[in-house]
Amino acid sequence: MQAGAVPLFSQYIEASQPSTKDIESSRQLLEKNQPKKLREPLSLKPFHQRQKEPILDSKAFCTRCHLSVPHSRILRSRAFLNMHTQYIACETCHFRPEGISFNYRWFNFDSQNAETNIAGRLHVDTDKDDTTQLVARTANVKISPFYQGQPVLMTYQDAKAKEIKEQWKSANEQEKTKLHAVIHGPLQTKGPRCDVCHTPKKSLLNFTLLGATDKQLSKLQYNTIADFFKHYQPEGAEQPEASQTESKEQRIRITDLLR
Amino acid sequence: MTLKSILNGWQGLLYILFFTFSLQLGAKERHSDPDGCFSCHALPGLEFVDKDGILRVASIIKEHYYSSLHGSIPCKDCHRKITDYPHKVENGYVDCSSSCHLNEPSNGERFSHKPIVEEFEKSVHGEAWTKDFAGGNRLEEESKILDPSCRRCHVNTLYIPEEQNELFMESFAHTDTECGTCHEGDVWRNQFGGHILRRLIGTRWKKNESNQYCIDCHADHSKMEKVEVEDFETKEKSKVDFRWVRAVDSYQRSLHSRLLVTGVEEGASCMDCHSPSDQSSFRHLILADEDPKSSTHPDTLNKTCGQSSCHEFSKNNLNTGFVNTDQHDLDLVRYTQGMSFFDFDRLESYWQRSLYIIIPLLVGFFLGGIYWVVFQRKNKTQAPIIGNDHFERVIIGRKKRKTKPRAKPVKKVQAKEPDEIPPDTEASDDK
Repeated sequence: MQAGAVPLFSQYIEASQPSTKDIESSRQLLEKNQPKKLREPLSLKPFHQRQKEPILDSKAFCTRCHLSVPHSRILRSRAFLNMHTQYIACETCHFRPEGISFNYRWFNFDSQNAETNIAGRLHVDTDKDDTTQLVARTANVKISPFYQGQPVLMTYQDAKAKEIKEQWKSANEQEKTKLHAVIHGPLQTKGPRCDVCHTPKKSLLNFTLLGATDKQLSKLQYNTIADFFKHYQPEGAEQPEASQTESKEQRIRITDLLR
Repeated sequence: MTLKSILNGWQGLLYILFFTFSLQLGAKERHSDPDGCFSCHALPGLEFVDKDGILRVASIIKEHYYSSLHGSIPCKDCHRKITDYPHKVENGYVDCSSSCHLNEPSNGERFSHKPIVEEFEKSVHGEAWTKDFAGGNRLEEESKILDPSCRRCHVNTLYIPEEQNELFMESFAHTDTECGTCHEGDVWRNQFGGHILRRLIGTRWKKNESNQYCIDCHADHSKMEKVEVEDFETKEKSKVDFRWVRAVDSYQRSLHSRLLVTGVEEGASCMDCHSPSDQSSFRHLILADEDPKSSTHPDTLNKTCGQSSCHEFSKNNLNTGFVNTDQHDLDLVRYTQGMSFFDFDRLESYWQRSLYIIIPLLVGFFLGGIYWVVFQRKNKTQAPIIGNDHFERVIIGRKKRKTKPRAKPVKKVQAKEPDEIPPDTEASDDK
């Protein structure tokens, strides 16, 4: 990032003017969703050996409040979306202002700059000989939006991020509600559908530029799981908590993966 | 063209040959993921935080699974009702007594843990879960159920533990020569070789490791205090006593445990006494001591202790007294934080009982001594009631002696200071 450059997301927050409806919506969200705390791992271990747990110490601005596995509402997609958070920055899906076209590249949260070493970064194949899957997991490098060559997102070290942190600390409930609305004003609650990226036609992400091999490109564009998700009806924007919807959740036979 | 005409002609023969060969080829490959579960579950990072704040991980390490004890079993053999996505939690429930598509190598029958489950259900832990297991209900089990379920002790470990892998590979390389001397043919060796060798290279768990499963729960005093045990005869439930709660503490101070801790496998583990190795059992039948069928019942102890090479003599009836040695002796339990001398639960300990008698006596003597020093010491000479003066007066008839008053202490003459020594004396010394 150029010295003194202000990230676009930061500029949008600065200019954010939430409506009364937005503030009311923020109030309800803050009331309903108390900050989640991770419980200590249970003494009763899972039967099957699982992959290691994720790195929870992220340098993203969003994870100052949200967990690094933030998706929990929609039963069918929450685990898949959280999987994507390992290598895709929040702003890639949730900050897509109208009329602006971004480029998507690897962003290094440590150096706060575009990552030049992109070979083997993509996390696609699950074959055991494919060591690339480990790269994205252990490095603090994610696919992020860039505008006019500059990173769009904010890290928690950004001046605006620090200012917001201080404001939040000293704010009362009413001020917090407004601040919440200001921060979330430029964002979309719902991210794009799977086939916005996982498609051979005009994908949001240019996988080749992101370092995909031919094999990986094919797997990403013709993705079985993304195809399976096409069978679902669109998710409601206002989906209630997962615990309340378990019985109402649309369920599809897994054999439809083969259709 | 009808089916009959196909089968009658030469084409029919070709069809039959084609299907026969293709089926045989297909049968050769064993695939433990026929339902494609790993299409999703092998993806790293499938995680979410559930409503209880628990980080749930749905990513299973495929390589580990294939090398595990259950690696040859398709997921749906256990998670039988899963057909849809998102999975309903109850559709993934696992029943450990169900049979799977794996054949038991010695008799070719469907393999099942049912006999073990049946034995376990008769044990003191029998109220524990043996079915309805799902990753999502671990919190429920952990917070509500005290008895240890199958999964409390068993996880899907590697078929060959990592530390035994080298030994296994080395032994396996010799199956052709050693085993092949008698067992000719690859079929036998492929079916049984690994299965038998896995057992020959050593036990899966060392005794200390198997003990740890018991200790994990039984050393948790606050958890154990909540346990209720059923009376063997009346079937009435009652709270466990202090001795029961501290069973691990007393065991860990015993020789049996100390041997194991120092790496001597001849020590006795919890299982060695409470569920000994026996051809008729699967080592899951832990019974109450009062139960005559229990391995720790006084009448069977000589057999239990006699199982090892250490105490074989106990099988002789003359030596049965030896086996009555208390293996959970409360005398060995140290006073630790949270334990009080006035804890009457410890009364079973002979040391404790003795202390309850000795300590009041000691306190009495101590206080009496202080009383005498303070109030009685200035009095006249203490005369015995019998003996001494009494003997002289009564038996010999001597007149009673007058008690002399105590002599006044002689005033000490102060020593002269060195400067008061006459100078001539000092001079004479010099000479």
